[in-house]
Amino acid sequence: MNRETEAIGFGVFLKQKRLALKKSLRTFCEEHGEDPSNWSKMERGVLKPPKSLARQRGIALKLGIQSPEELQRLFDLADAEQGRIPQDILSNKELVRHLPFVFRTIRGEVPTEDNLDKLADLIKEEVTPKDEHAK
Amino acid sequence: MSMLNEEIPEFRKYSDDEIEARATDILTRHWNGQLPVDVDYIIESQFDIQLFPIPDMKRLTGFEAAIDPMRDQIYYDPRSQDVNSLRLNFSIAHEFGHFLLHKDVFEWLRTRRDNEYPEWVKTTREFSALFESDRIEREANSFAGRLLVPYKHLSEKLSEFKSRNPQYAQAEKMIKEEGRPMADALRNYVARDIHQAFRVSVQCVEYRLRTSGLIPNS
Repeated sequence: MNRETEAIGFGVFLKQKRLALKKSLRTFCEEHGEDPSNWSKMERGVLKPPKSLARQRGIALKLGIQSPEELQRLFDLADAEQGRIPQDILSNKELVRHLPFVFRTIRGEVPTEDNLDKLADLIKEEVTPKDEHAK
Repeated sequence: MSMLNEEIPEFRKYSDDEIEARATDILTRHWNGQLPVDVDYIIESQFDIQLFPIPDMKRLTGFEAAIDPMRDQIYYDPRSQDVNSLRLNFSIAHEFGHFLLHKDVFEWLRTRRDNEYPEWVKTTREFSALFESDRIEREANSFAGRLLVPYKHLSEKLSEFKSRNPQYAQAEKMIKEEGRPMADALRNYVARDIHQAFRVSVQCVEYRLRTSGLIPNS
């Protein structure tokens, strides 16, 4: 897995998928009854991804996303930008959050307890706000 | 400081042939050959330009589309899509034409002011009032027409029209006798029939039929 390609946001992912369908923003939105302004904002990250799973599924359908991996990726990216921890991850390890590639690693590789602890430490260092360290 | 007292450089001018070559080059490299030409897709997928839909821009500013040369962004009013999508296609292609043809103008503008949008508007207004804005607009229009209505495809559509309309040959003869009024009428008649294939207005196809020489004035 290429970490660089994984490090994209929800909006960039949406745009990549739309362009892969060879659809311009206007054409895509016209065909799917979407508001081009809002869709553009979502692609640019100005608008947060929808919280509703039904809406996320609807977006995936419109973008022709069918494989379970791609669908999961869309959900993860949406959750990451919502600042939420996906339900299955939350039940697994509370400290792990934010990064879709982390979600994927955990789901796919079932890391050891030791690995998880190291990962948690790393994330604490990298993404947890400094003032939380002081607590 | 106003530009009025500054020396204005000589900007690049384009002949019709050069604009045709530029449009053809874009189509050859970035278009799949299927009508209509999806200019938005070409811009989004092949160029480092962002297209921003701004609802109500037309009502609020009078502009249906506009280019911000400071940021390589093209704005458009998505509501124009409902009102007149054919015109919006042309407007976006027109702004794309500015991006491709008038880099030197934009680069010069960049050096004059900081990148604040109101300053850019002010600068551009001064610029439009004083320096060749008509030429620049004409060049962008010419590019848009050539991009959205490629010569080869226009020629094919005209041939199809002729085969469906046996009276066409007679109309051509009348142009020789009556000149431009008859040519205008024929161009309008043909354009009304074929313009939807290109997703542009009747006027745009009329213009292309005339400038391409496919239906000349005499």
